[in-house]
Amino acid sequence: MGMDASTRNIGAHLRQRLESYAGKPIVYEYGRVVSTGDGIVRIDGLSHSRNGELIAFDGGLYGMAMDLELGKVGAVLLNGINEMRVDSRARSTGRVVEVPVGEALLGRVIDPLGIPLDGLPLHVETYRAIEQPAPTILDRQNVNEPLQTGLLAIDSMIPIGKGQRELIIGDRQTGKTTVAMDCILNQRGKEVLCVYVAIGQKISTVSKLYEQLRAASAMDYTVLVVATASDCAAMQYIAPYAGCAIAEAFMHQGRDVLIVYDDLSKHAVAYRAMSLLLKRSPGREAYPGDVFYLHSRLLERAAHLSDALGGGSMTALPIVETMAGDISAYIPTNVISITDGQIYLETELFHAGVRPAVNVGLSVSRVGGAAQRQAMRKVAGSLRLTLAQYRELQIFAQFGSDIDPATKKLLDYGDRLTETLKQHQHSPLSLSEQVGLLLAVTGGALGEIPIKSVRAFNAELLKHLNGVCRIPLGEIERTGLLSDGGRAAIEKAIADCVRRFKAV
Amino acid sequence: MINGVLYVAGPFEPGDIGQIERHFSALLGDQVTLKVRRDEALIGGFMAMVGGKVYDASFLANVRDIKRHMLDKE
Repeated sequence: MGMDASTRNIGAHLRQRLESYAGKPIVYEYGRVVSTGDGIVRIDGLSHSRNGELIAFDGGLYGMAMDLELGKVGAVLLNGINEMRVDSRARSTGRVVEVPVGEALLGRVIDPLGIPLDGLPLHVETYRAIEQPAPTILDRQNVNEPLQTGLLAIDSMIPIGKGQRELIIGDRQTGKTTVAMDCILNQRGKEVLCVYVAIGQKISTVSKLYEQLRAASAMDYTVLVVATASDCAAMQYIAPYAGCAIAEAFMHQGRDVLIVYDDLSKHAVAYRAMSLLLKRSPGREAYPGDVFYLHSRLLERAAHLSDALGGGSMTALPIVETMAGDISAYIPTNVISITDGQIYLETELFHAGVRPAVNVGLSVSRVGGAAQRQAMRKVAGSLRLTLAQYRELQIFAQFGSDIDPATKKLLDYGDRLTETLKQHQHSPLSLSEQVGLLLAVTGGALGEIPIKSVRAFNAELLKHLNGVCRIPLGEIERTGLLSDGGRAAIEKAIADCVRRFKAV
Repeated sequence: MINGVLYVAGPFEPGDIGQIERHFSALLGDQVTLKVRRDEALIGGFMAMVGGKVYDASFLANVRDIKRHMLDKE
């Protein structure tokens, strides 16, 4: 409330506001609950309800209209499932489900309705409907700016751009959430806000993730939207849309946002449960017929806006869990066809110690080099082909037969490249550090280092480069370019490091 | 004939109830009969649920509306 300088007295101000009050008749539609069960409510009346409209019930309960029939409305409860009674009154609120948006959400943990879960009050002034149309063709511009994940395997061969949708897919316990978390941690100091949407996860898991983000000071630029496994299906259903609305609000302010949906498989399962209880016809694998639209309308909202609209971006990293590596199942194929590429994490690679367990052959970024800095493009151009050849030759090596020198050389190179691509979790690498490592491996410097010592050498090399090559590395960070002089300086430093390492 | 429910906070004269019924009958274009129920939470006034709509003329609804008005930005 603003106060005029001449009305400092609170009483006078309140009198002024009261005098300006013009009471109007309060009229609204109502209905009666005729049946309730499993979080679904059937209401008699409310003939002017809209799809997705927020319905208020007696006792502070809320639901969302999902089924509109003549004289009857089917709604899903968002809270108080055990408190709903038959014959309760239901009232249309005239608005669709909304979520609070704005800077006040940064650092907070909230549920999909915006209710804080971290025990602190939340004061917001702006709300946004969770369902919004996606930006149109003319509202967008090309994805041409990289979003650095800090993971060498991804930034070099499966680069992600701001405004892209890149799916992270794999079996359980293959490091999908870790890849997403490392990406969030790497956005520190890069003017990219993050939204992490936890759908159907264990409360203990979400708690651990929150602690990790807090310990790394990542909560300063992150919002956590949580609908855990103990929340009703309706809350798990609206969670990603709520997170998307929060991210969209930032995007329309011209800011860059990263949003992680963890995971959309559980989201589809929650939607299936709701649809079956609403007696909608089940389709393939009992999912409703519009399960593709469920995810397409969500992911299409990620975009790189045109300069006329502020140039902001929303980069989406949806996560999908597969069973026994089957990426041809229903939900995985749906989401793969929507997104602009996928990062496929394999169980065999994970157990073989290749972490992140990225299967480079099955992973792709449809944006590709357009989302890479020139420095990275220069050193990473041939990596995918090399690894593809390496994988083919590995099969022959398993037979133990005699190998010709050229094949042995490629196998040795592939082994060292694989070791270099391994990375500890929560240890993101900057662009310049990634370029330095790739220069070392592609230039053949690692040929003199035993395979078992490659990781230790790379750690030494990074320390060395950050000590003696600050200027060329700084130039790469600032400009994204790898000049001939910078390359020569880095290669000289690499050779020095190899000499020192071998001498030890 | 439309049936409805009239929630009142305190005692109402039968004549008052009849007047309210006549008002709604004119509004909805059909004979309206209201069942009267007490709800002291309304503080004063009445709330009618008739013809699929709620007509809230209670003190409670007014107080809530005034609160919303007071807290709105000018």
